Amino acid sequence: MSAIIVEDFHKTYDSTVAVAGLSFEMAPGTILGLVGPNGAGKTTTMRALAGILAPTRGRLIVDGHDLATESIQAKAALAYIPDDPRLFDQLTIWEHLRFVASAYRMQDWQPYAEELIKTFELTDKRDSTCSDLSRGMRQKVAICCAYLHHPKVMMFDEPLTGLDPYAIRAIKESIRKRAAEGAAIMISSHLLSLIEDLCTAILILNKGEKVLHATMEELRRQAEIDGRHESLEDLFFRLTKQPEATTSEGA
Amino acid sequence: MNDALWLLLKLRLKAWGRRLVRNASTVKGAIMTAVFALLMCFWGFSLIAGQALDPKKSATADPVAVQRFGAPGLAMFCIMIVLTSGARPPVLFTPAEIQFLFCGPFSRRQLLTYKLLTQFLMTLPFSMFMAIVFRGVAGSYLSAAFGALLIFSFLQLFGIAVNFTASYFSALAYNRFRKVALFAILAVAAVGGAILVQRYAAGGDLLQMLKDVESNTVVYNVLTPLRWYSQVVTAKSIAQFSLPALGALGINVFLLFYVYVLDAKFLETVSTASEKVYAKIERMRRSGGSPFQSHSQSRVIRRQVPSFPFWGGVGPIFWRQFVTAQRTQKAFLMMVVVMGIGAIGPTIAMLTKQNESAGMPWGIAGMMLMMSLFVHQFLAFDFRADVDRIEVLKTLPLPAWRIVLGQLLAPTVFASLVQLVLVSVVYAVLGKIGLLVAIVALCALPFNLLLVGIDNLMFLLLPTRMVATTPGDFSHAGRQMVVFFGRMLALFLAMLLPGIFGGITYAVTRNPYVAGVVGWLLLVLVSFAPVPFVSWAFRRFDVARDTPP
Repeated sequence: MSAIIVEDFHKTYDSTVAVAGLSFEMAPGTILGLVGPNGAGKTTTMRALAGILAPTRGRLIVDGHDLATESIQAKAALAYIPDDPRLFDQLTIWEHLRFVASAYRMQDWQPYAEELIKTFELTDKRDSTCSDLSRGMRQKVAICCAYLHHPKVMMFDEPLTGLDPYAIRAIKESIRKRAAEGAAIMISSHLLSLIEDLCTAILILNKGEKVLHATMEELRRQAEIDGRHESLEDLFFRLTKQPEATTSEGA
Repeated sequence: MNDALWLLLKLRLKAWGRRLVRNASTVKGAIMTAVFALLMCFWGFSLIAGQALDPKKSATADPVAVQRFGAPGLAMFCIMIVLTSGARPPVLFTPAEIQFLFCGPFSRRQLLTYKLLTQFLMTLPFSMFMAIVFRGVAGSYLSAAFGALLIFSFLQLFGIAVNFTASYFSALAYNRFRKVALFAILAVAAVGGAILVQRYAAGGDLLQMLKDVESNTVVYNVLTPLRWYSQVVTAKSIAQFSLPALGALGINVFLLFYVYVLDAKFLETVSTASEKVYAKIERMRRSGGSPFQSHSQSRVIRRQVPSFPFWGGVGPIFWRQFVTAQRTQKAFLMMVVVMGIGAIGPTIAMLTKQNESAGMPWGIAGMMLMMSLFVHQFLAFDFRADVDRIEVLKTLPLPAWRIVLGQLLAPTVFASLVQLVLVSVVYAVLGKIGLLVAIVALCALPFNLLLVGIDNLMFLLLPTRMVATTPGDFSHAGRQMVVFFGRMLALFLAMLLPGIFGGITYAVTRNPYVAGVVGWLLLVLVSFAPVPFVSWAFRRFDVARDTPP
């Protein structure tokens, strides 16, 4: 069974088309890199899959549950970490974890929570309110909260922003580990090196439309067949190339 | 409600208390909290003493009039809610709530219950405070508190009900309906206003006319359910209290039931609108609390303000603040209009009814200058709006006093401009007191420079975000009071010098013009007095330690 099924997803705001007719599936254990230029519809797709935005048209299925009809079951299976994590400023890190454990009805969550905050080097700040935390630390707290309930689907929007090298390594390792355990993980990032390093599949969006969806293995094989020695960056620029801009000054 | 949401509510309440204690636990915070507590005790004691000594005298309004006009007042609020409902979300969620709750395993109804409960809890202390304000007309403190709670809950539920109902129609249809309703209401108001003005001009009694409208059978019956709320507030016995309280409670319960039955799909609308609202609040916090600087619309600037001369470094600093202020010109104009209608309108109306007296120009000029106390609060184009940019200012290769002078000039100039515009309107309407314009033109600049300087000094010594982050933050309220008293004291001391020397000059020469010139020169001198102090405060401001959270 696919962890995520997106069928003919459309999202429009008045006359602006954010996403048009997007369809794809993600199997458990996949790490999908969602890439595209600014305004391509990456965050809209993630926010819709997280249940924050309603699709204008189409179906979104998470862990076998349609978000339109079984939103609670679908949300229980997923975790979404936005690019700028917003925490309850006056709650401590531990209280955030306590709330998440309660929301997802977890029993005996404390040892795992302790392990998480140790992994992400937050032990010293365990009882500090989140208003005092740096951008990177807030990101770590959001990731701990997301990991705590063992979601089957995880979505990261620019996960490495503001993190130190230790945290970057910890996150990369944890993502690989979770994928190996069967979680489907979607990562939206402009860092193509991260996608190349971490992801097993890639989905490139441009102006709200899918321009490529393939596994990294398929891409490599195709490149060999075509005899092209193309990096992911070259591929990205080739597929999302903007038409040459003509300016009145230049004309 | 979901157990996790109860837990969140409990944790947030605990966190709120923790924050208050933390704010009050620093030396500055403790002093500010003590000031606030002292003043509140003094206020509370004066209220209780006034009530005990002479209950009738301390009444603010006639309870019968409250019963009578409370319902039309509430109806006006409801109309305003209907007319403005498209412009704001029915309920607001914080960014953290959106992140954790909207993606969490919660139903819409659970989230709505959580939000309604949060709002209700916030209404509780506010209602208890308002019960003190209503003391003059209330039957008892309990009836006032319960009445206030019912009224605020009603307004909140009514707003949500209107918004949820609107979401059942298309946005276009709803906006059309609102436009038609707005025109109809304006037309009725215009006709009613014209009739009232005509009767008033013919010597009619305005209050009696309003009473006549309210006594009209149709109006009276339509407003009966709303009258229950004011009857609860003014009830003096259980018998007077029971029925209206049951009726008002019934309306609130009905609205609650209606909102739940609708089960509107509010998540997307609310998340988008809430994010905008919180982004605006965040911009306001960064910009010194000025609502004018919180606009987010990106726009192409076609007309550039030319650079000012260098003036030893003052010019570029002044230019930057001037450009920022100039870019808020729409809001600036709106403020002039609002202040014009609010302050100048009644003044003109009053003066045209009275005979012009010799002291009138001085009176109006004094009023205009006193306006400085409030005007530049909205024009914080100085250190107050640069709390996150002080480190940039500190890196500039300029002496502190020149940076300070550049920072203080923009609000000074703009505040003076507002006053000059308003006083010119008075002059244009009344015609005879042109002296006003001259007095305000001469005194506004030094007077405003003095006030802006004092405000910036207080800000750099007691830095804070102008928008409080914690509701009910007593240390923040205390700080505002200290700043206000400090400003008044400094103003008094600063005005003393020109006053004394102007007076002595007049006593010696018997010439008011010479005395005026001496007083004005001293005022100009005094207006620059805060600059060295602000420079010292700017130099000692430690970005790492003093930047407020």
